[in-house]
Parts: sequence; C-alpha cells; structure tokens
Amino acid sequence: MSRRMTILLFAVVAAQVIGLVVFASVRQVALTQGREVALQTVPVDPRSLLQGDYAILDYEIARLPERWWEVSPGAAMYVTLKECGRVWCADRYSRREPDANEVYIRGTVNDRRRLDFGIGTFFVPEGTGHIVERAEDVKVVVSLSHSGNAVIKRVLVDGVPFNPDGR
Amino acid sequence: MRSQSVDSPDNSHAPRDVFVRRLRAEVQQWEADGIITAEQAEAIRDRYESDAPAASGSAIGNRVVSVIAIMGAVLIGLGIIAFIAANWSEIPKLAKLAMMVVGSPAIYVIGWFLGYRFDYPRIGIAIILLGAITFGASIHLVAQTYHVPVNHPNLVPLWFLGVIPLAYITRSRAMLGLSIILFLAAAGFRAQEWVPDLGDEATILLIPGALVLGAFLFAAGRLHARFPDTRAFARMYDLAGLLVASATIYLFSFSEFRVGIDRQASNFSSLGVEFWLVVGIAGLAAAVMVGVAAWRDLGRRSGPIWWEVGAVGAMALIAAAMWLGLAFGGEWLWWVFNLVMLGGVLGMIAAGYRWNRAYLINLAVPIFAITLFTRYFEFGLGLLGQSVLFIVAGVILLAGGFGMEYLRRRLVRRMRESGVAS
Repeated sequence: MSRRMTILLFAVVAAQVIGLVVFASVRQVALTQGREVALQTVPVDPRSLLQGDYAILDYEIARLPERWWEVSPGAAMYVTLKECGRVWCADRYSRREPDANEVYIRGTVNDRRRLDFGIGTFFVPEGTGHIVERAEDVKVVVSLSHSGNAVIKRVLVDGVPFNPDGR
Repeated sequence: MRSQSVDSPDNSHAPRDVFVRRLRAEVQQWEADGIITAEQAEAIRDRYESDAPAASGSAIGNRVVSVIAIMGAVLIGLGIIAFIAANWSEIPKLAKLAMMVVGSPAIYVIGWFLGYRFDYPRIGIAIILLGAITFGASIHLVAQTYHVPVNHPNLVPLWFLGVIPLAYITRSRAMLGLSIILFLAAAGFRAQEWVPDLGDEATILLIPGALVLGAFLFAAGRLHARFPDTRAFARMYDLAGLLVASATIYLFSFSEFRVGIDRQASNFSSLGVEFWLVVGIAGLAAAVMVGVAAWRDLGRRSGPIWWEVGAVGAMALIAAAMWLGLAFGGEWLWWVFNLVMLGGVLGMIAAGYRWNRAYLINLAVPIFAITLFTRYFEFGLGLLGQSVLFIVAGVILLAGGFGMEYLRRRLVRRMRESGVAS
C-alpha cells in the first residue's frame, strides 16, 4: 500500500471515530442540558436481534385528538405539555412550534393517528424485559431540548427507577 | 492503485503471477493502442485473473485463505455484536468509550500491519474487514446507550459511509460486498422516512425504486469495468445490480400483484419529495455512468456498450411501467412483468454467451428456475390434488435441475472451448 493510501486509510479510521464521538456527544448534550419531564406510558416487550432486549414504549400523549386525524402521516407536530400531578400531560396540539417559554415535545404523525417522539424504545439487559412488561405503572423521564426533541433519561417502574437486578 | 483486488487470487510471486502481471500491462497497452477492443481486453484479463479451473494451484490456495480469513472476521464481528446486545448493561461506560475510541481503530492498525508491513495481505484485509464490522457495532452501541431504536434511519447510512472508502483504499472485494449490502440496507432504512409506516399499503409504491437502485449498481459496474484501477470491482457491482433488479421484477410477477396494482394513485401522495429526489438522482447517475462507459468505448470496433445501455434503459422503463400500473390500474401489466422476467433471463444468457461472461449465465439460470417453479406452484395448487402436485413437482425439480445444470455446463464449456473463459 502506497504512503498516500496509508494516509487515506487512517484518515477514514479517524473520521469513523470522530463520527461516533459526535453522535454520542449530541445525545449526551441533549440528555444533560434539556428540560426534565415525566411522561405516562404503556409498554410492550419485543426483542431486537441486533440490540438485545428492549421495551417498546407507547405514550398517552401520543394519541392525536380527532380534529388532527386528517394530518398526513410523516408530518411534524408539537405537543405543549402541562404538569398533571406527578407526570406531564398534553395541553394542546399544534403544527407550529410553540413559544420558547413553553414546555413542548416534537413528534411525527404515523398512519395510526398517533405521534412518534423518537423515544419509543428502551433497551434493557437480556432477560429483564419482563420487569417493564409486567409492571402496573411505567413512567419515562425524558430530557427535552429547546426544539422539543426528547431523549430518555430513565424509566420509572411502579414508581422506582428501572433496576435490572431486581428480576 | 492497481486493478487487481487484494483478496483476489494472484498476489504471490509464483511464475504464473509474474506472467499475469506482465500480461496485464501488455493488455492495457494493446487496448490503448487500439489493437484489441475493450471487451477483448477484459476477456483476456478474466481468462487469466479468474478462479476458473485454469487458475494455478497457488491461486486457488490463496483464494481459500481469503475466504477462510473473511469468514473468520465475519464470525468474530457477529460475536462482538451479540456480546454488545447481550451484555450492554454490564459493560462500564468507560469500557464502552474505550471500545469505540481505541478498540475499533486498534483492529484497523493490526490489520494494516499484518497486511502491508508483514506481507499477510489476505489476513490483513480480513482484520480490516473486522474493523469495519466493529465500526457498525460501535454505532449501534452508542445508539443503544441512548435508547435510539435499531431501525433509526441514520444508523446504517452512517455505517455505509464509514466503510465504502475502505473498499477503494484496500481494493478488497469483501469490503465492497459489505459496502453494497450496507448501501441496500441503508436505502431500506431511509425508506421509513418516505413512507412513515411500512405496514401501510402504499409501501408497494417503493418497490419500483429498488429497480432504479439496481440500474444504478449495474451502471456503476459497467463504469468500473472501463478503468484499470477499478476493474476488479466491476463484476460485484454487476451482480448486485442484476440481482436487485431481478428480485424487484420477480415480486411484480406474482398473480397477487394484480390485486396490489389496483389503483394506488391516491397513495402516491404518501411518498415524500425526498423519495422522488433520490430516485431521480439514482436514475440520472446511472445514465451518466453508462454514458461515460459508452464514451470510453468510442472509436472501438465493437463492444457490449449497447447491451449495457439497453439494460439500464430497460430497467428504467420497467420501473416507470410499474409506477404507471400502480397509479392507473392495469392488471394486464402482470403478464408483461412475467414476460419481462423471461426476457431479462434470456438477455442475460445471450449477453453472457456473446460477451463471454459466464457469471451472467450462472446468475440467469437459477433466476429462471426459481421463477418457473414459483409460477408452477402458484397455478398448480388450485388445479391438482396435493399428492399428485408434490410428485409432479418433484419430477419437475429433478428434471428441471438436471436440464438447467446441463444447459449451464454446456454453455460454459462452449465458451471455454472458444478460448475465453471467466
């Protein structure tokens, strides 16, 4: 291999590492600097061949009110949130981004008249998915960025943080 | 950069390899001087650089070493992915970071040293391939850490973008194979953005887009064949493109398609602008690539270029016919796609025979057999009792398999007897 190709090879390797670090950093910043809110969920428990066990989380706020049923799948929508006791619930739905002083989450309409917030998957250690599946009450604490994008911080199973050793 | 791929057979210093290197240089000069045509040059190169029976024992041995080493790399890579999938919570965050920042590059460095400093090119390439698989595992490890779903549309495209340059830098066909698989998978994952829910009936509208991707890959193969530095990659692109195109047409050849095709016009709005943009760019790129390949052949006495232009054009036309059928109905198109399937198979056999490309015949015959048996079962179940059906099917399978193999061997033998094999 020529010197030029060797340099190119290691430049690509360096780019791979930088890409991974940027990917992780963006998520970490969203996790640590966002607004923390708890959302009510209803979980199910499938299995990912590539990433091990995970729970699919469906959110109460994901259900679109009837007046928004005509919105095309794939369209972006915003849910302005308000505190409802120990969780945050939907105050109103809109196509336009709410004011910056409001707490809101961004989602995408799917063809089941629900919103996908990009926080529908929670990975758990192999064989522990049933802990989430069998729980009576599951809440997800998410971190919301200024633009309404959400990242999962932790999952509360029957009021306590998910603990895979409590199997 | 030389034309020979690292994981192809002749990288040793055996007398035959010296001859092949000399011949390769001579052929390039003959082609440049206009003594022989491009396809004759390619045929001569294929004759001596292939793994055909004419290849030397050392060349076959080298190929075996490559295959075993690559299989080892793939197994280790799968093991790493399974390890991450099963034990992610037990891996400390620091270990995850170390694996990403140190582990994957360390594998590349080991591969580079073995391949290019200690003269074990096949083992080195296999370990660099392992590095590329580990890169994909690292992407999914980060995604898992932040609960990003495995089907997120950006994960596999990121993996593909990290691997494809390595294929050209290392000149490894195995790395190119991984890149093509990732390219097709990336297109599939990105498709989620174009149709928000793949369970939607509008998903069928995406399928003709795969045919355009097939045309893109095939045109890329034909372009690669025109340049000495990239010629070793041509066949892999050809095969990938033809396989994707055949699989797409095969899907539309089912009788159930008559139901699916029934007026999807109202669902066309489900496809985003991005979809049509990607299809347009892929189609345009295919046209440009096959156009450049034709331009490279200008002044030659003859060449396969019109077959190549025809194949790319036919793929584009078939994709258009599929979309028109989906938009306006047209159950009769189902018959057309079956005839197109047959025409495509015959075209591949004819091109393989005419241009001495045995791999086209080796691809066409199984495709024909699969289509034939599919149609038989599709129409036979309603007409015959099950016991008779299985007996007849068994006889047809045996006789058909024998006939196909006989035909394939005869064609390949005749090509070899005519003095050019691949």
